[in-house]
Amino acid sequence: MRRHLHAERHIRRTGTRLAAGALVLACALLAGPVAARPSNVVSLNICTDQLAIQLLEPDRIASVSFLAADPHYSVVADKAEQFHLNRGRAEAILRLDPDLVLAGTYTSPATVRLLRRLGYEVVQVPPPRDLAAAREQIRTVADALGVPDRGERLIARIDRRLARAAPEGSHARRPVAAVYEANGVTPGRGELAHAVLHAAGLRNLAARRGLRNLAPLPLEALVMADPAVLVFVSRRDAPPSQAQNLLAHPALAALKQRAAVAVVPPALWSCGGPQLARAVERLAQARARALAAPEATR
Amino acid sequence: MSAILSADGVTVHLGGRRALDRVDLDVGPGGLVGLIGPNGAGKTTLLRTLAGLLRPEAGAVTLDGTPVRRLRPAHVAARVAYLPQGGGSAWPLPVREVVALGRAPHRRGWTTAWTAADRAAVDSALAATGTQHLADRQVTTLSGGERARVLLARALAGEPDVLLADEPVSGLDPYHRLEVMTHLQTLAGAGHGVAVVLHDLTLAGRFCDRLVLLDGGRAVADGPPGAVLTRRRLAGVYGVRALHGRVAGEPVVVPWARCADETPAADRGEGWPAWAEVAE
Amino acid sequence: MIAAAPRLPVFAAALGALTLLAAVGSMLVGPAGLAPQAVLRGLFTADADTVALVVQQIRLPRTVLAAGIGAVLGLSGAALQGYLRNPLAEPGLIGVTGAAALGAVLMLYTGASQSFALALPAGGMVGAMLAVLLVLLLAGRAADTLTLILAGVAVTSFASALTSLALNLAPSPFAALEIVFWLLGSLSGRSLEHVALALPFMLVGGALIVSTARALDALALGEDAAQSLGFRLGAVRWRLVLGTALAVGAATAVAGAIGFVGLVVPHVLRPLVGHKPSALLPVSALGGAVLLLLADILVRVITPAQELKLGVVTALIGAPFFFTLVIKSRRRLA
Repeated sequence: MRRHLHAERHIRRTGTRLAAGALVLACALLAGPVAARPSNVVSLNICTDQLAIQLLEPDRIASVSFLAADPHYSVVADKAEQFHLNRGRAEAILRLDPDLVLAGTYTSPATVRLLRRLGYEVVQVPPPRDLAAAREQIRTVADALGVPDRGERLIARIDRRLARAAPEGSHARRPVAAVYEANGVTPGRGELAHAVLHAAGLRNLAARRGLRNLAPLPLEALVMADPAVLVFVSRRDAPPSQAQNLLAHPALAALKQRAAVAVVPPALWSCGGPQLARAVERLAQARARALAAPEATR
Repeated sequence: MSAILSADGVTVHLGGRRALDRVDLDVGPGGLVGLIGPNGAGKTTLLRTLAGLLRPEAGAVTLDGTPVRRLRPAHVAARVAYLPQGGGSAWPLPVREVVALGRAPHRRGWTTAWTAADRAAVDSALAATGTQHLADRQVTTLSGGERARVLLARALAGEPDVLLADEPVSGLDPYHRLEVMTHLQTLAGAGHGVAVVLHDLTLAGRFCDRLVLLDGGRAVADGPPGAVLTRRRLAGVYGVRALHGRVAGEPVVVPWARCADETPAADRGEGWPAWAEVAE
Repeated sequence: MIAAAPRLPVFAAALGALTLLAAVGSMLVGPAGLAPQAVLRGLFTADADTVALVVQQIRLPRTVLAAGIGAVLGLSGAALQGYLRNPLAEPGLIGVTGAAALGAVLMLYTGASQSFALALPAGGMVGAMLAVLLVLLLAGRAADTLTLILAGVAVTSFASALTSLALNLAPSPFAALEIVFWLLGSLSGRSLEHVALALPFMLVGGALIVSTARALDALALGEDAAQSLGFRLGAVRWRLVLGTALAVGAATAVAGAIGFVGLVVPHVLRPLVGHKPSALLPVSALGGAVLLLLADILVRVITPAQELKLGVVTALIGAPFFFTLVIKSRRRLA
């Protein structure tokens, strides 16, 4: 009798093991496409650089663009220095043999075509045009990197900080702000800067004039508009050029005396990321100074 | 006759070679001096040195005894007028303006305005050269003879004491050659000192009071035409033989043949035409 | 009986009036859309309101520079033509503006002019001086047209190549694109600081050039005749070289190389002053000022947002003019 029961239990245990084994095998076969995450990522674009560094473990990043190590353009410049810095040239990229290449839609089309033709996977993201697009950019990159949950957490963090940074009563009074870059260009509707200005409770002079993307704004027009807030993008020690020296024009210096001035480097507002909140904070401070000024009617 | 402009033992080097070798020349008032000599003898160089355009390595050019080197160029220019060879105007200026350029040494400062003295001098220069009727024409539209006279008027407009003219008649027809030489003779007669570079020995012999014969940078003869234009000189310096005669008391020298092409008769002066008085 | 060109003062006065008119026009044109009364008030007020800022800090420097640079280019063109006895000489064609641009580029993009503001016009003046000396050396005096133009082409090509190289090596990312500014010229974004940097040198240089007026007249008769009239030709040459270097060098340093003004203006005005070089100097200055003022008004009217470069307008006028000159001289030589 006992020998019969042993045999029965033995057969049942083996069957279970067999069934379990079959189940694991079936799962393994079905889960093939959801493979290992990219472990040798090359990024060619400043936005994807920063996101890669913010979302991925360092040992999975093969290279980021040289701009990522420039604190003027990147908020993770110190972290970027440990990586190989590329200049977007195909040779260097091929030598790194990446399993994923992140690029922007404006990255050299020839390079992108070449990489794809050679069988590399290239994921391109457009420059973010507004805050929604910034969130989309993060999602796309996070998915490509295989860490969608980290992407969502990042987006949530950004939204929290943006909400904290946005000024009180920002819908009530919106002073006019103008961003003036080298060569006299200003970001209009369609630039991320425009959305950030709006989030900070300001009105973008460029948008009021109907300008889209980065557009030239004559100095005379800027002076006559006499904005309450002036925003500059360049660093003080930028190397000299006619484009740069325009920002030292005496008329602009006089405007600076009359307005609240803020300096927001490209690092803070050219890409999606937590740094956008810092840009909003700076602009909100400038807005507050402008509203506190005696002729706060603009 | 005291000289106004004088070259004393001047030596000038040009382009590495000695263009003038210890040449003396006095240009005095009331005399027409002719500078003659073969091509490259240094005639133009001597004239330019006298005008102060070239600085001699040795010797000196003096104006009224003072070395020209020590005088201000404008001061020299007010007294010595230089008429370069083959001159013209780079721009189609009216003749009046071209002649007025001769007044430059007398104008002061930056102004280009005309004074009464300027106007008078230009008028008399135009009259002296018979070019009043050309006064408003553009100088570049003139014929060779007209232009030569206009440029002479330019030199005269400065009211100089000395006139230095470099081949003023080259390229002119016979009428205008005689006309210009007559002008120069009149000038000399009026008390100016005039030195002229000439190739035409006939004109030189007839119009000049004195001839200076240059050869290879040296002055080999200096005296009245009769003493300079001898057969020996012409053969030795030019390598030519000439016909010599007199017309109405004036010497006539006409270069006739090169020494190399000779006939024995000519060598002895035989068989040559006898000159009679030329009918007027 | 003898007239002393009585038309010249009248003609000069007429050109002067035209210059004033063009200057007024230049002050009235701009994207700010100001009414004339506003501009007038803004010009003389001591307040620092926006209208005053626009008029005094943006439009006034432009107007002063356009008039001054145009005058200097016309003047130096007339003087060079008088000295070289060649109607094709002008600072653009013989390479002076190209070399001046090179000198200025070397000062600006290396940061030298940031430490020492006068380094900018100094660079332009040194470049211009070298070009004039080089052309005089290559072409000699009374050089034929072919030699002169070839010398100018050589200097311009070399200077442009070096300018392009310097801009490509410069640290600023904007530098390489700014070659257009340097080779064609522009008054956009100029300020009273630029006026202060350039105007003194333009005035001194202009005065030096004007001082050669009487000698230029005499040079019509040739160098020997001119020297025999009491002019020290060596000193005349130095005044012309220095004057051109100072004036054109400083002008190019703040506005880039603007061509053809010194070619067209003296050529057009010469018959109207009886071909006299000394009379041509002041009227070419006024004519050049008018031309450049009008050109600067045009670039602000045609493409207000992204202005055309000044050299484009002057070349559109000057190059066809140059063609007709070539055709005319061919017919004369043929």
